[in-house]
Amino acid sequence: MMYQLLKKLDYKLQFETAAAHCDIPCKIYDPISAQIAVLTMIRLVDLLNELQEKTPFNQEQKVQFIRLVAQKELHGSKVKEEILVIWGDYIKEPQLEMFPELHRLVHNIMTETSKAKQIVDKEITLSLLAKVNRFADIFWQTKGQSTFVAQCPYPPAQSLVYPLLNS
Amino acid sequence: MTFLGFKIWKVTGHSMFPRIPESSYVLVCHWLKKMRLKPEQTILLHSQQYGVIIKTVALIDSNGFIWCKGENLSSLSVEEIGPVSQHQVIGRVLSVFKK
Repeated sequence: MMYQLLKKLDYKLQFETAAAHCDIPCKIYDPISAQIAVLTMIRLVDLLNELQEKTPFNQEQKVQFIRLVAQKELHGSKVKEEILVIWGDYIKEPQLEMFPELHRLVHNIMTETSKAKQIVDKEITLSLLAKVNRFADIFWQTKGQSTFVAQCPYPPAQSLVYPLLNS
Repeated sequence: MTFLGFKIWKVTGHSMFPRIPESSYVLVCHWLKKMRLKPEQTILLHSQQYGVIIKTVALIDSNGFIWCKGENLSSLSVEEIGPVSQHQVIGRVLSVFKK
């Protein structure tokens, strides 16, 4: 009886919701994973550039080089996966109407991530970060959340778009 | 709508089943969060990553951080939710109203 009463009140008052998150259809979307993956790529490019100065490589440096490249590949794939999940599962007609640039932006992120994986070029990874940040900004706007830009407090100390959440 | 620090919230998702099935309503007391929390109490908290979520207190560590869990295996794990500080707690669940 109490439940039915609350249900009627909910219809009128629209109670706020609290999520009991799980791994079923959870509706958990957050571009932060993609943003951090790009930051990692930038950091790896920095480390690769530092390593470049030590050529010819000894055995240990060869191992380090291989590990850095492998991680750059891995995080490039992660950027793509995280962005594609939000684009495919979350972005729908209302979001596209609000931000018609979304399809092109996502496509540009895909191609630029491929480029960032293929070569060791900081400029490309920085350009990729700008695009992923723009994607994050759009994402939070569609959620009605305002955003702010701050420098991440760890290397590579680049600017990141964060949601301004109320406590 | 908050009344004297009490508020009704609607629950979405399955991780608190069977204790709190999806679409249940919970009465949350906002000022009770100032009292010392204990394991097995159900709380509402603000997660940077997941937004407003409802979870059960698993333990409170020696640094005062709260570690939370769901009520079944499909829930995000304690580690995935991560440590929660006191100021992220919105309130304590007092009653559950389910179908």
